[in-house]
Amino acid sequence: MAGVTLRTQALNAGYGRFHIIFDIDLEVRRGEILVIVGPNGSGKSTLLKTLFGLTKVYSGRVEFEGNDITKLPPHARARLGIAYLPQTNNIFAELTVRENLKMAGYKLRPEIVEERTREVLELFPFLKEKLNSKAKTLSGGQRQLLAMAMALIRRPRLLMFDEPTAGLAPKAAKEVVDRILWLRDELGKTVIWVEQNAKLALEKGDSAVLMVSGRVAYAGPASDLLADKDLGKRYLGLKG
Amino acid sequence: MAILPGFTYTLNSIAYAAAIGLLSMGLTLTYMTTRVPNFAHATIGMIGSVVMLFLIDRVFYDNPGWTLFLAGPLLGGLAAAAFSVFMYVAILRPLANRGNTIIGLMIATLAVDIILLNILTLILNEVPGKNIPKLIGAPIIGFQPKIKIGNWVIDSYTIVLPLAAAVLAVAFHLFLTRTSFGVAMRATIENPDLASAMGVNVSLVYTVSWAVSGFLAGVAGALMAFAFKGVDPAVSALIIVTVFAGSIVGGLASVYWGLLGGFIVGLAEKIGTTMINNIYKALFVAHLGFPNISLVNYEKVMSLGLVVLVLLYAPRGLAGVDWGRLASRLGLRRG
Repeated sequence: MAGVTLRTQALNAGYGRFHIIFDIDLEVRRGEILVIVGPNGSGKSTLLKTLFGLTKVYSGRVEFEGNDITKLPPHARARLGIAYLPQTNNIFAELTVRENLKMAGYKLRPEIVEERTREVLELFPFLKEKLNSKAKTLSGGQRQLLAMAMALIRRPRLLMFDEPTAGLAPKAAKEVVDRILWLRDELGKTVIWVEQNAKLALEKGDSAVLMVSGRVAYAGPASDLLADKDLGKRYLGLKG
Repeated sequence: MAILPGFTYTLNSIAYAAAIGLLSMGLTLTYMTTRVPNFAHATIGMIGSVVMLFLIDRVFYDNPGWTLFLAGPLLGGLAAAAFSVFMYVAILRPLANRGNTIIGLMIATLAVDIILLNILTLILNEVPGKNIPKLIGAPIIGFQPKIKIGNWVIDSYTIVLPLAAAVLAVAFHLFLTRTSFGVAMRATIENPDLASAMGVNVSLVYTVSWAVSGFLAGVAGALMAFAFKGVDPAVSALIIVTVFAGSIVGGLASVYWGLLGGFIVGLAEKIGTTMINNIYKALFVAHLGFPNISLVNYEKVMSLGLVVLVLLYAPRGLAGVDWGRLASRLGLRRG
């Protein structure tokens, strides 16, 4: 069995005095996709933010590759190899594509940024023609892919997506999902994927967590949750 | 009677407009980075004027020449930048960290403005001049090299000021687009959280923006010292109105539009007011028997009138206007 990339134990967190997620235990193994699904307001996005250090942790523990990172600030987690891609505002719209990629490698040596930019452009060829265009001229799907390309410049081992397909046309959404699968299959990355479209995510993911009212209602193989008619019907709007 | 102002007056007006442009550019920059409307900005510029006056008194009195035009703006700019950074790091940043809103920070800049104005006045009043006995109100227009073209004698500051504004604008543009730190500054202005996640030291970016803003103000102040009949820091109270007008006309969302907004407002104050005055005299006084009064002293009506117009018709300033669409609508460009 592959090693565990990220694990939480009895994690409680929220914003200030607003306790949002309760006693979360989850783990994601290296090279697999963990999907987090659940109804609106169930704490999916808060959980993801907590894993990146953007909320207040009251108790519990977060481990990345065996190291306790519970108290680390976001930039330190980024340095360790975790990338967090928020749903919106994940690129600099007023900067050119080239400048966005440059910013992604801000802390890296220029020659390394140059080399990795070349690599990333091979992986996302459409960006080559857009290098000198402002990122705001990109379509919604292209922006998500640029955000992905920016994350890859830093060579993360774990990528965490917060609803990457929200607001995208079906074709663009499919392209983004294909890219997430490709991250796992071709680049061997570990992925945590929060998704509103439960059916889509459960079909593609390896393991799944179902969040309900800030607690884990299910944790296990994604296919089993997809097959669980009771949970699917009750919380995910899936037809029985 | 001519409607257009004379040649020398036009040159003086362009120089004044360039100085306002530089000041509006800096004001816009710190507003974009730290969201502080800095009412002390014009007085910070006066630090440049005071440095220029001291340089003339102590160093360049017997031999002014062109080096004065290099040393004055450079040292004046650096002194103003140093004060600007001090003001941000020691006063505004701690206030912002304690949760003060834009109103609180604005009032703080007003307080700093009054304190700084008094310090500068005190220095000019109490520190004895070596060559100029009483420094406050000392006219320094005579200490600049004259440019002669045929019969024209041109005040060289009227050439140097617009030139300095152009050079600084190009230099700042190159800084923003060609250097890592410049790109990081633009990134921080757009999304400080994301920039910080990329490893940008946001606090350093803010501090540098205050340094740049102060430097631009100091350069403008040093060269503008020649425009006044005498150096008196209190004139900043009038200038700040025009600087804010320029920044608002520009839109407070782009340093380039800040520069242009300041330039437009500066020109409107000088040339616009003169032209209106000339028209008034030629038409209303001469033919319609209106009272023979001078309108040239009402230049602030012009700048603030422009602010009202811009707020009414382009609330996000010139930076927020969709120029492409406007051009096609006017038939200037195929849409």
